[in-house]
Amino acid sequence: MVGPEQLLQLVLVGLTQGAIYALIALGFVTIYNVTGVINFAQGEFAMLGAMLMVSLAPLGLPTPAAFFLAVAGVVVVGGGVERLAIHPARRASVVTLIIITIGADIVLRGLALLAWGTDPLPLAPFSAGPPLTFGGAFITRQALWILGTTAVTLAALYAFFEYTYPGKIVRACAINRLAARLSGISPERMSLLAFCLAAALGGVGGVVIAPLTLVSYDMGLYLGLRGFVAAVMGGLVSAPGAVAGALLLGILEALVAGIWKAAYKEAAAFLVLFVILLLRPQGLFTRAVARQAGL
Amino acid sequence: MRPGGDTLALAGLGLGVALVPLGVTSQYHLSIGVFIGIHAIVTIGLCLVMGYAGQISLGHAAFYGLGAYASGLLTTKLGANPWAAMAGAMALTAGVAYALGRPILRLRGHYLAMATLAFGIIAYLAFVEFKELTGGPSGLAGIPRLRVGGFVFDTDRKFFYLTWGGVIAVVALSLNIVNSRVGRALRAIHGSEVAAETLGVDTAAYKLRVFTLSAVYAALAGSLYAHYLSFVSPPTFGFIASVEFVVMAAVGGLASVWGAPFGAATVTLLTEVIRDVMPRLLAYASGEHEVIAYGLLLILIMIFVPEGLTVGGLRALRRLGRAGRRVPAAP
Amino acid sequence: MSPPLLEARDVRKEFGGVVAVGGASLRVSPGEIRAIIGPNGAGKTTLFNLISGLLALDGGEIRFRGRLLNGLPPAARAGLGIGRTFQNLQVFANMTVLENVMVGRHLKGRAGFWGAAFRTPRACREEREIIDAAHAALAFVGLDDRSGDPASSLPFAQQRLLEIARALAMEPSLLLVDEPAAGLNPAEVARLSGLIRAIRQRGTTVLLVEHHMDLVMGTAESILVLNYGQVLAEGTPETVRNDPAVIAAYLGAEDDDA
Repeated sequence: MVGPEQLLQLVLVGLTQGAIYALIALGFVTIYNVTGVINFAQGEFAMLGAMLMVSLAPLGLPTPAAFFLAVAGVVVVGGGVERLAIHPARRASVVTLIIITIGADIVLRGLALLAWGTDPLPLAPFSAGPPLTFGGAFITRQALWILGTTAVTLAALYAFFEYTYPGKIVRACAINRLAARLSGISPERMSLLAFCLAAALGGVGGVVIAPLTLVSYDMGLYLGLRGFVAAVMGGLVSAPGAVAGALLLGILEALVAGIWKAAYKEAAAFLVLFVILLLRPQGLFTRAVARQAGL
Repeated sequence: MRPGGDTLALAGLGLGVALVPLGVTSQYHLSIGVFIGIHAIVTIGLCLVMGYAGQISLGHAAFYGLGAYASGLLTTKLGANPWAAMAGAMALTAGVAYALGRPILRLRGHYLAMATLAFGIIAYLAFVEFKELTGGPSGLAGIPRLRVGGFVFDTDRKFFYLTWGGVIAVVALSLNIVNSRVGRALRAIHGSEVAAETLGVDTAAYKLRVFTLSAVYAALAGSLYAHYLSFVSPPTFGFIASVEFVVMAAVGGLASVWGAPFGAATVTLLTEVIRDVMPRLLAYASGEHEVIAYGLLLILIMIFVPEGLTVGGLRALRRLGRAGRRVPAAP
Repeated sequence: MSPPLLEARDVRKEFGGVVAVGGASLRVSPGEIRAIIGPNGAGKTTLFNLISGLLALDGGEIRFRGRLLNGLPPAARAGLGIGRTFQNLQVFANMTVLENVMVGRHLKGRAGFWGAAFRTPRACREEREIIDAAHAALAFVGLDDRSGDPASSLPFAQQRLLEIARALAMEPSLLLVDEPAAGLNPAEVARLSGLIRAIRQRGTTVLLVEHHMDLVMGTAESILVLNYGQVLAEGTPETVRNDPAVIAAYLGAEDDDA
């Protein structure tokens, strides 16, 4: 059986991975809340963040500067996707929009392939040094960076939604799109803002995980699908639910891989998604009462 | 019952199919023709589900794969007759689709899309993981050819006729369904599920049945694939394949049975052409760069012609016809 | 007195704290033309939704020919003989006028996927019957000349008639008609009144929700007045028209002729 230190180790690994899923999941939730679209290309934002960070590394910039530039680059791409692919079709049906974001996902992946080729690229961790111990388990310094960055990002996001005007507008859109529009809020600007925000979140996730994984043009799908499962666990509308779901998912995957076979980890996420959709499509954490406006 | 135009079109298709292999002799081109036919069969089923019943399926490659693997396993491991294996594969896939559909078809819109997505990926992982059964990543080989007595379907030309005979049959059956009480019920569900219910249409049952039917079509296509290549392996039946089928359906026009083979042909040909052309344009490009053009095409079509190319194309032709007829006034 | 065709007892429906229908009861006899009137938000359409099964009861019961409807899905209720039209039109815009009405004939056919796909003789025969019956229903409401047109190309008033024809194709015992007169001119209202009486003549009981007082007073034999989800008054047009509570809540001082 698995000892307590091993369990703790697995949980820590899971939390680290889950933090990345959380950032991506929040991207899904933001876009869905504001526009009603499920952005299939969300995972690619993370991939691009990682790729850009890798490309910036040889320039010898200080890490914070490279971090900022990489995320900014992804934000530009996110805005581009919204303007070029989503905005022209804003009145289309659900099916059409899903297919468009699939198209965007394919294009981004192809462009990455073109720009960076097929070989996986490594990136040095943000701070050198041996892993730290924590209660009998190891935690790498990069993992600490991941957890820390995620925590800071979540706090910043919260502050943005609670205390800034644009943030409150986004929340208004999420709660009642029609009323928001009637109050003079432009849904087009909100859509663009949502995509840029989601791109930033995904980009941050990609940047911090880059040193821990082999960065390649096809890493987006993996991350995107799991971020999506986490978002669904939060009912697609609840940010805290998505974060909780993401952390749970990360831990679940780590436990499955550590205790059974690594290969089953793949299936775990989708089995979870499947079961949730069948039993509780409104998510694990939202109350069953329809809080949807414009009913 | 069946509009006269359809009968004429079917006859035309039959004629075309009969003539093509007389003009096209290259094995490579004929094999593309076979794949177009196989893809068309899957796409027609998808059109019925997505265009007529208004559901969405992002995991249809799973049924395609189930059909292929079932055919392969029944013939290689149990020594079954290939035709019986084909029938068995279709029946088995129908059972899986029915069992799956009952719970998930209750879901709407995005949720249904995601449930089908999850199912598709789980099926793919099963194809990879159950090595003793499926051969895992290395696949399943040695699948016997289809034969009638001494006549073996072992050349591209023969398989082209077989596959397209299947396509014609599937198109005819599907058109019959669309123009019938059942087809109207499906279209009613798409038009207004609420009104359909109050008129006595058991929407849940119909959604389930059309979903199952589309899975049977996909299984047929998978079985043909298996007996054509004599070999199946997981990558053919993954998430990307499911996406490609949705693209074919969307390009052809979701609510159009005729659109499906057209969409399948367009996308399959485009993929081949790009795979052929790209390496010549970009020195270092590998065959995978077709994805960019693919994705761009998808986005452009969905933005400008969301009802699909068949309907959009017909509209454009009509507009051209009208423009041509506008004779300028004599000076 | 004949047993009621439709009987609702203490029907309740809430939406998250808002009581849409709170303890309403009614009995409809076969062959009646009954109207339900009341101000907006009184719960009329909610009541229709409860009867046709689109909404679940929170309390009370509804019986059709003595049979309890609670828990029965809408398609099954249609099978029992309950048809309806919709206040905000639910015409099948993706089909022609004739095809819309043919869907109304759905329960009279049995051909399934197999019969449809292989065009069995029975399926073909059934199809011809469906087409004929649909044409007859369209002719009854006066729309047969538009049968080949897309349903969405009809003006609103005619789309309303289309919904009626579609529901009639079901040969229902009870027809729920939800605000059919909205947007009609006086001549059209008079024709509608005649149509409703003709429907009753053919043996279908009519339950009508309506705001248009001319239509209500001129066509219905018995009127139920709903207000805030409860029955305010019930009776003949004369009784209801002169009931002070009804006047105060809904009719106001009569300054134009009924």
